[in-house]
Formats: sequence, structure tokens, C-alpha cells
Amino acid sequence: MSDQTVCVIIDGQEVRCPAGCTVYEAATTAGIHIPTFCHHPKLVPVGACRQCLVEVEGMRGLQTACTTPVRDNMVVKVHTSPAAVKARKANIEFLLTNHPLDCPVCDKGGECPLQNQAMQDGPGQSRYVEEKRHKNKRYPLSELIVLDQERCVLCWRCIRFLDEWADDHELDLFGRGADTRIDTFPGRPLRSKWQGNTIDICPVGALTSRIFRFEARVWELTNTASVCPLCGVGCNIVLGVKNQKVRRITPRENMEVNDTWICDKGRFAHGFVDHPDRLKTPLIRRNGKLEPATWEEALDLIAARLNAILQEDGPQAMAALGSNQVTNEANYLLQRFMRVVLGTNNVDHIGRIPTGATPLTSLPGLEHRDVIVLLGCDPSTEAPLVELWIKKAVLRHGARVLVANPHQIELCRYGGPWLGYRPGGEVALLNGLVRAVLDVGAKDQAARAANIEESRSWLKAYTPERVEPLCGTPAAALRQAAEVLVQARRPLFLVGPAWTKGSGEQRAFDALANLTLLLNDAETGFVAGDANAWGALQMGVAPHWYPGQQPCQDPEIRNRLSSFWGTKLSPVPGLDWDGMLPACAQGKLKGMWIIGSDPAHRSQTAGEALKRIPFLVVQDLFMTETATLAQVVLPTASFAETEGTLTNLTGRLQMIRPAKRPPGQARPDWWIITELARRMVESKRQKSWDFASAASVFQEIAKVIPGYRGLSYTTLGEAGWQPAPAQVKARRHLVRVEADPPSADPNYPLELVTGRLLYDRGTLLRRASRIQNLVPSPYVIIHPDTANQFGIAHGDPVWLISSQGQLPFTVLVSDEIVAGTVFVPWNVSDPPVGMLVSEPEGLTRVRLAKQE
Amino acid sequence: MTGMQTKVLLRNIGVPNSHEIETYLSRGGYQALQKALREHQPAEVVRIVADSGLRGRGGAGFPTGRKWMFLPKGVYPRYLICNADEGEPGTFKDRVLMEHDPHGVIEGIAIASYACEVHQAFIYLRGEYELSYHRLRDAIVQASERGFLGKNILGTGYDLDVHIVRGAGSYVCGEETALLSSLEGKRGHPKLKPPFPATEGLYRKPTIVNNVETLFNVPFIVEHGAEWYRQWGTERSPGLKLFCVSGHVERPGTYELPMGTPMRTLIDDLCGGPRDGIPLKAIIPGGSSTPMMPAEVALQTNLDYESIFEAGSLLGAGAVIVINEKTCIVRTTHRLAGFYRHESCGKCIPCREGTDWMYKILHRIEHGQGRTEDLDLLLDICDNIAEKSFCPLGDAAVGPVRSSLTHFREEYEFHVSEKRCLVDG
Amino acid sequence: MLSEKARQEIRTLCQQYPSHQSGLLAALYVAQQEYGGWLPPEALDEVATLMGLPATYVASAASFYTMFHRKPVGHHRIEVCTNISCSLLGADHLLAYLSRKLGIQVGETTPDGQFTLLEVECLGSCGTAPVIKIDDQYYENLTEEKVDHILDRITTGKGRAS
Ligand SMILES: Cc1cc2nc3c(=O)[nH]c(=O)nc-3n(C[C@H](O)[C@H](O)[C@H](O)COP(=O)(O)O)c2cc1C
Ligand code: SF4
Ligand code: FES
Repeated sequence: MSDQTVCVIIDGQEVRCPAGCTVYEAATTAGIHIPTFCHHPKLVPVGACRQCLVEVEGMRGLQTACTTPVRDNMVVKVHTSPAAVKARKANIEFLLTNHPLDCPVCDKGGECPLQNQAMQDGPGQSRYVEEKRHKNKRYPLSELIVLDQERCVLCWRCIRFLDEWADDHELDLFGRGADTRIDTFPGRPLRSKWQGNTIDICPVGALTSRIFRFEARVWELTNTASVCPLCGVGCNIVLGVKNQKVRRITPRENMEVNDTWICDKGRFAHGFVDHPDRLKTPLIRRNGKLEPATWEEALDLIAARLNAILQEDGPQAMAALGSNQVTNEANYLLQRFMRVVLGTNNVDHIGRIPTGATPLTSLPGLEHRDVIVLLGCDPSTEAPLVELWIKKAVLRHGARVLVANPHQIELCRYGGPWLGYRPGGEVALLNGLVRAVLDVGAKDQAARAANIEESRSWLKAYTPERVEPLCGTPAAALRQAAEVLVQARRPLFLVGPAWTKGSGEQRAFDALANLTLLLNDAETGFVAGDANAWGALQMGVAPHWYPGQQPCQDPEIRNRLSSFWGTKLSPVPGLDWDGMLPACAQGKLKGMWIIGSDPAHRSQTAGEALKRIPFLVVQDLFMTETATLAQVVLPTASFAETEGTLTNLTGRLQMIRPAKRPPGQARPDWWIITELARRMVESKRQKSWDFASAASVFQEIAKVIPGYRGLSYTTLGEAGWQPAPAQVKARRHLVRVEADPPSADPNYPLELVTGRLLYDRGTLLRRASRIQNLVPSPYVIIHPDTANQFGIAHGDPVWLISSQGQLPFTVLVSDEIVAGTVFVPWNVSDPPVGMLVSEPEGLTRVRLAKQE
Repeated sequence: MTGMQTKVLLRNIGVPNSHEIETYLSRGGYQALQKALREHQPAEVVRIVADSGLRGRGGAGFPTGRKWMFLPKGVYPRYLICNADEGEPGTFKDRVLMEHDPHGVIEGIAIASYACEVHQAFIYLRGEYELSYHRLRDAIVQASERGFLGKNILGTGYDLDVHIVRGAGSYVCGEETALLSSLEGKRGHPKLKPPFPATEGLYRKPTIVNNVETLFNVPFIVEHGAEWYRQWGTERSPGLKLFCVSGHVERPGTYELPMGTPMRTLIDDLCGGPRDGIPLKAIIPGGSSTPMMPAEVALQTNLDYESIFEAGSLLGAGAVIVINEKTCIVRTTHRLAGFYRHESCGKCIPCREGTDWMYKILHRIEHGQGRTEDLDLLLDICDNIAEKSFCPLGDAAVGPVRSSLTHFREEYEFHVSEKRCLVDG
Repeated sequence: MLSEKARQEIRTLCQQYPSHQSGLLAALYVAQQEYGGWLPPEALDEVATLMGLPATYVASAASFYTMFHRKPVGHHRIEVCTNISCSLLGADHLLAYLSRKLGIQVGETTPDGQFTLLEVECLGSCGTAPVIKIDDQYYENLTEEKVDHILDRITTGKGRAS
């Protein structure tokens, strides 16, 4: 569309609209409603259904408003043309002839465009006396969706959505004419993780959710605007609740986040919220058993025990873990409690965003990147909406997607190249790319580095051929990638949590900065997989950082916050998670409070260490493995039951809102922490804890964090608040970063790679019915060379053995993984693959043995 | 029987081995191609065809030269498609040409491609036409061997490849944009117009779609000139036309006549009049989609676009279906409605649902369960389909229903009131 | 499984066109031939893989065209045109006659797997109505006697009748 505007006259009304828009769009801007079926504002118009016929002066016959472009001074008649009105009425009549009219039992009832239009324009009485056509009803297309082919009006919006956005061509038209049906390939269910969106855009009740089916009539639902808590994107959603139970989740448009779409995990996995397993009352360990207690008892007990530890062992004997999955308010209060009430900086959370990472600046901005490089990052499983934006860049603008990952991920389908590497080889891989870019690129590339001449000497060692043995990436793939990179106009590097594990944060980012410095207009963004990863960091649940990532070691800042919080803050450096583990093991930590995370599930080491803590308090939704070790377990409210904010992977602050009451005695995190603090400060004359709501907590956060000044729940509103992108100082110098030699251990010759699947058996998803049927049984992917080496074949049952233990898996042999590594999905096996992992988390080496 | 026919287009039909290149060459074949390539610039060929007044023989009668002039300047590649889908009930003239004079088709394609600056042409051939496929395929091989196709044709530097693409049983694929979809390896759904194929067609490139017979005319026009061609026909419908006659006449078949010839000449003189002397009731003049005419009206008209239009129907593709008194119109219409229901692509609501509904009503009437209100209902459904559907198949479907109700309403009324047929009881 | 020869044929076919997808219908013909006259899902899947197209897309496209069969068919397909010109000259009687003679309804296959009887739209042979098409061959100006004769020739393995 151009910037020019034109004037058209629609039903006698003058309408100004951009040149090149359609008659339908022009009418919509003027508030003139033109009925449609096949048209959807997010899909390419096809003009198929003929519902939008209008009269245009000077044109023969009637025109489809959805496809006819406006011309200056065009005269259009929508409701004032008898011919057009008759045609639209007739079209509704045509549609209804074979429609089953089973509205009373249809899930779409109440929000059905066909129903509405039949009311508005329908003939009122049917002239159709023939037998209706019979097609498949209640026909499951997958675990999640059921199709009623008789209700379908064949607008093919669903097919077009899956084509134009998801690029998953799994639905199509079959047969022709009156016998046309929507269907999948014979016997093959829909697999797309975007299929749920077709339910929303279906203008009738042809595609319905198997999870929402018969749960409620839509008008019985109370709808609450909220945000999805299942990954770092934070898609905007609506929770539909009836009788204190979440019945369905639908997307809410936010062009800065999720457009109008959500992934199927966000839509269908809400079963955990109302699951009978939810913790409903506080539990106290009595005689070795966890038994129900009142809040009074539980909180009094905790206060007493913490006070006792304070007296006997001092503040440094206590620690806490916040979480990248709970609200900012909870995280903020937790660190405030530890620092202000107990006087320790021993506070951290697991899965902290690596130092040096910067948030992605914009999600819609992804569409305009011509080269997207994924470094140890799999958006399809870790942050699905990111995948959708990447697909938009690929499908609409031909972007290239380069993938550096130990095994092939879904986005490799766009041709890559795939840069398979062994964990630990990150620096080698990047140095190889730097070197290859300098080789294939012209002077432009070299000229960007001020110290190019002296750097050439250390880079000599990183020709693609020399890099190949260091990281396992084929030299040809590196060269191919370099060709793409030197031509990129606006490349974007998306870094995932896996990327910094093998080589360390500093070196991984330094090596990456070397590469981006050589390229045109490059940006790096970290793709956080958890709902509040940035928030947890930002709220200061980190030993070295106060809220707003203000360093604890800065005396000026410490003094300022001391006076703000009304207590003297401890200058003693805190323990991070890696430090807490040995401290537990050595008996130095006497008390610990864990909110919203399950470290015992993640690794053997953590579980062992936590057993040594004399007083462990766990606050969670479910009886997690960690909770079974606790002295006190506190039931908390889920995202659907509390107010608060989450910070997504672009740093955007967004609100979640209570849609229902928590089960039993469960309480929001902010309430629990406040109540405990109140009990403990009475004796200590500290500034009071007078938070009456999550909103009042947020008011304080807005005062403490410099960039948040002036924010409140009101200003966040429905759409949230996006901070200005951080100014990253552009480097001009290449930094010398040398690669590690590949690690080796003859007993454990293989490197273990773990990664998320979209659907797994984690704490929450395990309680989402139907979704569980989509989780594969435990498997390990190995390279054909590895299979040969161990004499193992595809489908064999094997033991995967590390220094920590062994677990059974089924083998999948595939060349879609780099040799020397094996891949196991996280949260699929029971016991969890964490059994094999030791912490502090680095690389885990394993070997295979055939099960006899 | 053939005495009155002008034998220009059909001059090779009936000659032994007419499909072989030797036969074709011995009868002056490929002279026109040589002349076009050697003596004319492409634009001159376009001009000659435009001057001849040749109109498309696929049904719509659009002036061929004008269509060629719509090609946007400077946009390449361009494609030419010979529409050999011939699916309209009643038509079989293209099949006659392809089976018995395939080189004439190829020569027409070659000249038209040269005129349109096309280097890749396609023949979209009905899937059922097995013999046509073999004949055309062999003809392409023979023509290539002799240098009439392929690289550097006749040493003039002009290159042309011709491919045959076989349809697979779908009438709507004869509609030019549905044809494009099918040729692109898709379901045969028609595409939005505009853009018209001439500006954005196959693979979104400028594309000319012409009927077999249209292209078959081109060599004659180029060889002998526009004036020569205009010696036949009328001012607005010049030239010669093939008519395929079927149904109740003594000698059905393909006949060649100057445009404007009286219908009576075709029926009585060439086809030997009504079969078994049984008087005629109705004539469908241009293929099943063109409105049915009472026989006495049809026999008064001349065979050109304008005359038939004035008499209330369309010349279409020149497929004359002759129906005698002993035929039930309701039953005939019911059969045609079944055809259009079967061939509707299903993309748009009016055509998909409307053809289904009409068929069901006609089925009821035919089986003695008609209601008085059904007749007006049918007419209203016709109104609601006509010009509302995505492509002209909807209009085609309306043709027989509306016209039969207009001219033979009493037969319908008899069916409704007497629950049986006026004709066969 | 498609034979290597068929796979090669499909590859070659597809290369003819500016866009290889244009070879889809031709490829389906090849596959149908290989699978004994119809296209089971495996066949569609193989064509899809060979051409790099989504399987659903290929299945959908194939289902649009009546000459691609999605159910097994007999050794010979008898296609009777019952459209207007043929029915004016008795096609319906001819169809009924064939149905009686073969002992099957339209759409069915004889128990010995020899013949499938199909009703089709206009075959483009209206001037020589009524017409039937058996496999690749047209038979024109038919009468019941001619039909008897043709079927005899086919069952006794003497190929086409006239
Ligand atoms: C439903 C339908 C079917 C058609 N079938 C054919 C056909 O089989 N052969 C043909 O030449 N034109 C057919 N046409 C007309 C074509 O769309 C197109 O007008 C023609 O091929 C142009 O060629 P011409 O200008 O040489 O006539 C059909 C049109 C419609 C609407
Ligand atoms: S299922 Fe729904 S969205 Fe899909 S074509 Fe039918 S009516 Fe349209
Ligand atoms: S909305 Fe315009 S044709 Fe369907």
C-alpha cells in the first residue's frame, strides 16, 4: 500500500483510505460492515465465498469487496444496492441448505459468524426441502481438534492459515463441487503445533477443540485477559472460566508479541491449573511425614526456625531460590525478604540468563531480518511464537535461516545450512566463521575491525578445515554459512541457553561479538525459554545484583537501597546456585526457601545436596521431587489465580490477572512472603511490610528499578510496556578468544545433549490431558557412526550411562546429529535424564550399552 | 453430403494418413509457418490475425488478435497454451482436428507462438483423449525432426518447444484460469481475474490461452491474408467455423461452414434433417451451456455470434445439439444439471450449493415429486447463481435450466401436476 | 513401491516444465499405472516425496480429478457416457444393459476382477453417440449387439473389437 490516500463513496458516505486497499478495508475503516466468510484480515484474500458482493458503479455485475481495490472517486453500494443485498441473502440461503443447523450443540454457538449472519441477512424461512448432504461428523483430525464436515462452509481459512503462517500443509480440500471436504492425508493426524488457531478463524463450528468440547456455552464463560506462562514469548491470551475452572484459552491480539496467534501448548495445556494434584493446604513434616497444617502453623513454624538459624548460624546459613517462572512481584519480594529480613545475598534462581546476553529487541522486527542465525536455540520447542515470526520472514521475504545446533531442529527445513557442532566447540565454530567470512568477504568485512591486521595471525589457526576436528562442523557448511553472512543486510543472531553451557558465557559472547562486528547491521538477541527469565534477573534474585541489575558491590547503590528499605544491607557477597550446592553438601546451609522450581528433578547432585539441608521450605503448585524433601510445603496460586507481571524475552512487562480462585488454601506468592516477613519483622523494628496487593508490590518495584519509574498496573494496561532497547556499545576490535581442544574421556566417549520438546512430561504438562498423548516415549538419538561403534541398531533398547548413573532409552539412529554426541529430550523419561547430569552444570559425558 | 461444405479447415480430413507429416507437407503444410518466420515480424503476424477478425472458437468469441495485443510490452518469458480440454457436452470438433490433422494444430501453435514471442507452448489436452495424445505427440516429434519446432526453426533463429499436458477428468479445467491452476500442478480451481492471463498467467507470466480451432485457423490466415479470410462470414463474425452436430439428425458429425450460414442449411441439407423424420422440439446451438431454443426459432437463425444472440442464445463453441419431439425436456435438463453439479469445482458458494440444489429439485420433479413452487424457485436459484459465481461455470449451469423453463414450462407443469412425463408417459 | 523405472520417468517428466510441479498430473498417471489402475495412499505419498511436495497437497490435488481412482478398479474399466448427446441416442439403455450383463451396479467391479462399470460425463464423441470407453479405447455408434461383441473379444483376449 502506498502513502497516498483516495476518496471513495460507500453507501453515500465519503471514505478516505489508502490507495491500494480493498473496498472491504475501506468500508471497515468507515464502520460499514460487509459480511464475509472466506476473507480474514490476516490471510491473502481469495474472493471465493462471494458473501461480500457489492455493486460498484461502472463495473459490470457485482464485485467481491474483499478483492476489489479502491480507485479514487469510486462509488460503491453495499446496503443500498438491491442486487447486492439479494445476492448476499441468497448466498446465506445457499450455505444453510446443507448446513446441519445443530447450533444447540455446537461449540461455536454464541460467537459464530454464520449464526450472526443468518440472523441478520438470512431468509428466515427455508425453501430447501431436499435431503441434506451427509459428510463426516465428529471426525477427529488429531488429539486436539475435531472436525464436523457438515458444518464446514469450505472457506479454507484453516488451510490457508496453516499454509501462509505455519507452513504446515497438513489440511486441504478433498473431492470437488458439492462433495468437497476438508481433510488431512488419509490416516494422518494433524501435527502442526499451530493447529489450534484454525479453531479461532473457522467462521463456523466445523473445527472445534477436543479439550473445550462440551465444557461450556461460550456465553457462560467469564473472560480474563492474561498472558501465557509457558514460555518466554508471553503470548497474550484470554482465560475463559466457568464455575472456577479454566475451560479454554484463546489468543488476544498483540502486534508486538503474538499477532493473533498462540501455539497449541499455550492453548491446550491449561489442564494443570485445575488438576486434582494441586497442593491445597500447607504441609508440615511431622514424624518424618508431610501432614496438612494451617497457614498460621506453617508460617509460625517457618518464622521460628529461621529466627533460630539466624541466632545460631547467622544470615549466611540461609539461602533462597526464586524462579524464572513466577511473577516479578514474587521474585522481588523473595530477594527483599532475604536481603532485608534475613540479611543475606544468598539468593539466586536456576536457569539464569547468562551474563553478556541482551534481550531480543522486537518480535515483529524478526520479519524484516534477511538472515537469522540460531545458535543453540530451537524456537520451535523453546519459544514457538518466535518460530512463527521467523517463518513469516522466510515465507514472505525469503529470509535465510542458519542453524548451529548439535542436532537438526525443525527450522533446518529451510535449507540452513545446518552447522552441527559438539558442545564445547562453540568458540571454535565461531572463530571458523569469522575466518571464513574474512576469506569469502571482500575488503568491507575486514575494514570493520580496527585491529584486523594483528588479528589475522591468531585467526590463522581457524580455517574451516582446522576447525572441523575441533567442533565437528563440516568445513563446507561453514563456508556456505559464511557466504550467506557476508551478503546479509540485517542478520540477527538468536542465542539460546544451550549456547553458553559448553564454552562459558564470556568466551561464547566474545567470540560471537567478533563475528557480528564484521557483518552489516547485525544484532544479537537472547531467546529465553522461560516465562519470566528476564524478570527474575531484573528483580534481583541473583546474589550479585539488586533489582534493576544494580551491582551489590557498589557501596553507593547499597546505601541508597539500605535507606529505601530501612535496614542496613549486607556487604557480604552471596552464593549463587553453583555455590549453594557445595555449601549444602558441606552442611554450611541450614535453611533454604525454594519457590517455583524443582532442582531435585534436574540433577542427581542437586537432589543429594538438598537432602542435607536441615530446614527446607518449598513453595509450589504440585508435590515436586524437591517438595518431597522439604520440612514445610506451601501451596501457591497459579498464573490463573493471581495478579502480577511477567517480563518476556524482549523485556516487555505484561500483566497476568486472576481469572478464578486458587484451590483450597493455596495463596499467591506475594501474600505468603509478606505474611512471613510480617511475622519476622515485628521483633526487629524494620520498615513494615504493608503490601496489600500485588499492585502495591509493583508500585515499589517501579520506584526501585530506575527504568521503571512511573509505571503501574494501570499504565501497563492490556498490551503491556516495552522498554527502549538497551544501547549496546558497538565494538571495533576483534578480541582474541582461543578454542578449547575437544574434551575426551575413554570411559565416556560421547557428549550428552539435552533439549526441550514442545510437549513433555514436566511438572505442568504432565497434568494436561490429551497433550500427554503427544509426548513420545523416551528415546536417544545417535549418529550412525556411534551406532557402528557400539554395535547398536535403530530401535534397540540401550542404557545411557554417565558417571552419575544409568537410564534406559530406545535408540533412534539418524544422521541429523553431529557424530560423537547423543540427544535426549528433557522431561520425557522417568526417572528424568537429570539423573545423569552433575552440577555445576557443564558438559555431561556418557557411553551406551545395549540392554540385554 | 459434403457438397455444400466449404472444405478449408477440414481439407485434410478423410485423406489417408492425414496425421503423418508427409501427407501434411504434400498438401502444402508448414508453408504458412515458413512465410510467417521469413517474411513477417511477430507484430505483423498479430496485425494480420487482428485484421482477419478471427474470434476465439473456445466459446466466448473474443477477438484473437486483440487478445494477443494485451500482452504487456517487454515482459518475458511468455507462454502460449492451446486449450484442448474440450469438455463441454456436445463438442468434439477439436478432437477431430487433433486426431486427423495434428500438424495443422502444431503449425497454428507455432505461428501464434512466434507472433506472441513465446518460446514454450503447452497443449492442455483432455485426459480422455488418448488417440489425440498419441497423434499430437508423434506430430511434435516429426515436426521437430524436420526443423519446424525446437531450436532455430528453419534456420530463422526462432526457438519453440511444445509440451503436452494431459488433464485428468475435469470440465472446469477448460476455463482458462482453472486450466492454469491445473497446468501448475494444482487442483483445477479458477483464479481471480484480474489479473487476466495475458498479463499474469502461467507461473504468473504473460500467457495466451487459445482454443485448438482458433489456432488451427491461424496458418490459413497468415498464408492467404486477412482479406481472403473475410470472404466468408459476416462483418462481425468473419471466417469459417466448425460445427459439431449431435442428437436427433440423420447424419451427426463435424461440418465446416462460413459464419452466418442458415441453421437450416446445417440441419436439413448437411445433416440430412431430423432423424427418422421425427419433428424437432429444441436445439441447443452452441454446446450444453448455451440456452436451449425452440426448434422453430433456432431453424430461423443464422450461424453467427450476433444472429444467435439476437435469437436468445449463444453460438458458444458451435456444438449443435438437436432434440426431437419424443424427448422429455425435464429429463434432458436434469441430466445436464447433474453434469454441472458434478463439474462444479466447489470453490464458491453459489455454484457449489446452487448446482447441487437445482439438481436435487429437478431430480424430484423428474421422479414425480415436483411442487408447483419448484419452478419459480428454480428460476430464482438461477438468478442467484448467474453472475454471482467465481467463474463462468455457474452461468453455464444456469443456461439449460433457465432456458428450458422459459420455453418448455408446460412440460414441467405437466410433470408436477400429473406426476409423470408428458412425452414418455 | 514404485519401480525405479517409474521413478525415473517421473523425474524426467517433471524436468520438462519450467516448474517441476507442473508434472504432477503426469506423475500421478505413472503411479496409477504402476499400482494397477488406482492410487492408494502409499502411491500418493511416494509421488509427494519424489516431487518434494507435501503429501496432503498431492492427495488433495489427485482427489479433484475423476480419472484418478481412489478405490481399486478391475482389469478393464468400462466407462459409459450418459451425457446429453449419448442419452438422446439411448445411452441409458446401454448402461442398464451393461449393468445386467455384467451383474454389477455402476461403480462396482465384477467378482472376477475383470470389469469395473463406470458412468462418465461427455467423452467428446457426441457425433458418434452412444459411446463407451474401455481402458484407452473409444467404441462408437454402439448398439447392444456391438457391446456383446466387444466384450466377447476382450474376454477371449482378442483385444479391440473393430
Ligand atoms: C466452464 C468453462 C469451460 C471451458 N472449457 C473450454 C474448453 O474445453 N476448451 C476451450 O477452448 N475453451 C473452454 N472455455 C473457454 C476458455 O475459458 C477460454 O475462453 C478459451 O480457451 C479462450 O480461447 P479462444 O479465445 O481461442 O476461444 C471454457 C470456459 C468455461 C467457463
Ligand atoms: S473448516 Fe472452517 S475454516 Fe476450514 S474451510 Fe471449513 S469453514 Fe472454513
Ligand atoms: S469474503 Fe469476499 S469472496 Fe469471501
